[in-house]
Amino acid sequence: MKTIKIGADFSETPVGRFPSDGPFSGERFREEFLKPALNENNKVIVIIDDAEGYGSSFLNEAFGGLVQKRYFTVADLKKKLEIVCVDKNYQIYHDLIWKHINEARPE
Amino acid sequence: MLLSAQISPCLCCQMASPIVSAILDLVRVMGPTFVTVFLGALIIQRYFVSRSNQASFIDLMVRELDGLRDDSLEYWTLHSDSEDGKNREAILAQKIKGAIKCLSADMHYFCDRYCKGDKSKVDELLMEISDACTGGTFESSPKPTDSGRYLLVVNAINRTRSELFKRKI
Repeated sequence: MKTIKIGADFSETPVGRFPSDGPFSGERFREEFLKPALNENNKVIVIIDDAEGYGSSFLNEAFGGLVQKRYFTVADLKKKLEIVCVDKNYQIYHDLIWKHINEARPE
Repeated sequence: MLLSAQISPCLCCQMASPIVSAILDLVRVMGPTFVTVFLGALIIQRYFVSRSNQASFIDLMVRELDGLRDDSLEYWTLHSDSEDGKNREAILAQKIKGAIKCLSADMHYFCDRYCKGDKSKVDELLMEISDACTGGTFESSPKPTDSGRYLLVVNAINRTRSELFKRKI
């Protein structure tokens, strides 16, 4: 099992979709953190409430991109991925992540 | 003789006793009515205070929604060719993200307090707003102007506004 704290391990201010949008983009988080962790572990816990906030573009690219790029299926992610937020104010991002995963279509 | 003097009530008490007993009778008869009226007034007052607080909270959230709509529309129609444009774009992006988080916290508090059964509907509305305001090419560099988002943003925010106004009426 691996735990990723977005704020501590990646950035407190994740921004944008692609690496051209900034150093802490959704694509970079997906490729350098999420995908390797999911490949190497049975369970990955992502703690989201230590970053300042997220745009839907970041969340869509980082999490929905796992399905769009055919790295994992929705069923795989439901088994392996756990999104955790203790702070209730971050519940919206938790719901958005699962919405983007469920609505993603493989390219 | 001494004993009887000690037991018999004084003249003052003998005069007052009919008045006291009349007051006690009145309290006995009217007491339950007074208590009922008092409790009823308390319940009605609490109900109206709660409704008034709810209405004030809704007004606050509607103001937040209006601010978010204005910032989003400015962000999505902004030409960021110049340095000033880029700076303004960065400020607006942070304002929009902050406003969505704040709105989410307020709406969840409102929901916990006044409409526990509708939590899933509130979540849906918030996600729609977030996707409309911060989806697509949000925070991309260079960001193309996307005037087509106007309708998405306005519709998402208006749906939430009307849902809130339903609770106020």
